[in-house]
Amino acid sequence: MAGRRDELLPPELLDGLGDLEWVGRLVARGLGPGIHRSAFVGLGEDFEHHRPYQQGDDLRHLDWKLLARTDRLYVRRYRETTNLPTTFIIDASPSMDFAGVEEGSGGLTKLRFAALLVAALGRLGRNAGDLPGLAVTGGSGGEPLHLLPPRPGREAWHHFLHTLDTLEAGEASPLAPVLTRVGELGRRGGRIILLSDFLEEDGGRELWTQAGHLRARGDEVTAIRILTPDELGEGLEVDGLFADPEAPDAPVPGRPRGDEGYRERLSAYYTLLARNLEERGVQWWEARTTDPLLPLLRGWLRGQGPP
Amino acid sequence: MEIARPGLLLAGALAALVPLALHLLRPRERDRRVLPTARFLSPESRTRIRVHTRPDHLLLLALRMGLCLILGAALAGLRWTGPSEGVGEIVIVDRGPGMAEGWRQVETLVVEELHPGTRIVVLVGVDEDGRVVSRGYAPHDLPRGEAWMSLAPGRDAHEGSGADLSLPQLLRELRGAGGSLTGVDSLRARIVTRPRWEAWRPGTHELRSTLWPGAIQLSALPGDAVPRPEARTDGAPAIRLVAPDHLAAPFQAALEVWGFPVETGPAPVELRVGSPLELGSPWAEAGADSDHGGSGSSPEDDGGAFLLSDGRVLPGAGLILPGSPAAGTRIPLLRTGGRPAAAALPAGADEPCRIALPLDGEAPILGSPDLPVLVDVLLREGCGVQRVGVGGEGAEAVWRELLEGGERPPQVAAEALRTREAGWPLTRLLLALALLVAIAEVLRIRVLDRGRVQG
Repeated sequence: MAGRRDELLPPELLDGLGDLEWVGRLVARGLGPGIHRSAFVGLGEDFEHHRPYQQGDDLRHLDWKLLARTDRLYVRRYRETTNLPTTFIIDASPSMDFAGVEEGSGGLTKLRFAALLVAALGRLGRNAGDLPGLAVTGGSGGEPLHLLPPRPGREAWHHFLHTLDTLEAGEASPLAPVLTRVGELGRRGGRIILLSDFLEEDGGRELWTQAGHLRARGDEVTAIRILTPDELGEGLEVDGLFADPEAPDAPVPGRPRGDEGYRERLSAYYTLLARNLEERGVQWWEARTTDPLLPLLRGWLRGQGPP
Repeated sequence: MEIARPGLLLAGALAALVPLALHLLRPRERDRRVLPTARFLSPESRTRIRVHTRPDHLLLLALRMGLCLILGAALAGLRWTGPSEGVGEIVIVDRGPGMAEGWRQVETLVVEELHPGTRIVVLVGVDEDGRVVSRGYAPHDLPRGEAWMSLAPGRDAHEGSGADLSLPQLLRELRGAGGSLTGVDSLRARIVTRPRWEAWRPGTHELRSTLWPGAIQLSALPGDAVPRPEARTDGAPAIRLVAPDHLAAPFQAALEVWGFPVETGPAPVELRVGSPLELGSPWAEAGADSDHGGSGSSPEDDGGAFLLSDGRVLPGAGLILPGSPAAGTRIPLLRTGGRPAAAALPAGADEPCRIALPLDGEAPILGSPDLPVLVDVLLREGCGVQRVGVGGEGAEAVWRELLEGGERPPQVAAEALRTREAGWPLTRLLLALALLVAIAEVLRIRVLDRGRVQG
């Protein structure tokens, strides 16, 4: 029986996630076992290469078969894999609490869609031994509304899911300060996933600057842009007064669908943002709230992998 | 309901269309939608405004339109005059001295014919500033019988001087009474007076046309309503006219008009009516030969000149009625064009008056504009004159022609006469109402804003 569309981790999604792996693109510096390549070579399951035996090497790693064939001493070197602390940063500003132009359409809000997406990605990571963490923007004074550092264990996972399930929009706040805060709290070599509509007042300059800093220190940063079809100009053909929920006093009369200039400006905005992020090594994914999760994840993870 | 400035009311009505247009043209609030990417909408689409077939926020629209209408009505000088129904009749009772004892006749002549609700305005005199003092009555409030006399001149001198009530003043008061009379949709006018020569003054007709658009019914007191002056000499006629030939006929006509029986004879005309004409001593001092013995003086001898109390000589022929001025008696002097025009010498209660008239050339007395004034002066001074309506029946016809001439409706629309002072002014009430409506509008806007924010 199919679950509701706004349900976190419905059974069919869990079934589909079993086939997927979310492998980090960079070498990880995790402390526990995982599927991600560790920055350290040595113990592990994946054979990396042979190295001539040196005094002091553990004889358990001596390749006896190769010794028999070549009469030389070689030790087998394995790629060490580890887990990856993954912190999801969800933008919970008022603009994310938007499902579509028509009220009561039953569509998912961007915030809820982000929560579903994070739950699915978190589950994928948990399957690989990753430690999910969560930061939600929208607190007063630019502080995070919720901040759950990556923690192992069932209790932390349940807390993580409960927070996602009860997520509500907060105040309008920029993403960059929360990104900085997460970077300060986490060790380098972690994974940071940003989920937002990225409608920043400064066009995202501070965001891509800060994301570049994190990326430069070895963190894997992925930005997932979430928009509704209405915002993309693909929704119903309606006109009227349109107001940004973060600037409600300046409504604009217009019709997004028939407005070519609107699409062009929207596209230019996100193109500039994505290009600047990608130039700094940030992965850029795009999603609409109407996308089914499993195909979306498959599409992303298919092109994803170690560079 | 009266409107002093209908144009402003119309302007208010037109202004009320502005909120309607704005509510139709502006995008409806219910079309207000949330769109986080609204910043990317095309600026040109801001001007793409649809006209809606039905306005939104009907209560707010009604308040705004009502505010415009109320402000327009307040500025238009709207006044509540009560329900207008029926015909009102304004009766102006001349209380000038010319009425003399005619007051006794007013009640039977006019008042009893009036319909209930008719308003009567009695002119009680002229105040110190020259304004007519009037008093309004309803017929049932009007004093009856002897009480009428309490309104007579001299009985209530504190209410006014009782002087100089002219036809223009009567007409103005008629206009004022019509403007202040409320509760009717049309008005009739009636003046109760003794027709006097003032009506002949130039401009009076034009004034009447300006002030009162309809016909004015004249209730003229008959001449015989005023008691004749009593003869001093054994009941015999007491007037003898001495005048040049060319003046004899006008004088005779004048005397006849006034009701004095006159006999004429060969020139120099000596109209011997009975007892001899008595000439007073002041006139004799003018250089004319006075005939104290009752034989009179010839006009050639006295030159028609009379010495006035201020020492000047009044040229022209004279008509002297019986009686002699007492020593120190004030002689009213009327001036026309800067020179004495006529003088009247009052006498005691039992003494007839003397009047003197200047006659220029062959100017007929009936054409003299000063004669009615002089008559009026005589009446004010308490002299008894047999017939006030100079000209007799003919003069009354002229009066009627003057007052009712032309094709004028017997009754006129009350609105045509009313001023903005009529009725209860609604300006303050409307302004207060406008304030309430404005407050309600502000509250409504706040409620809408709150709902919008919560939404």
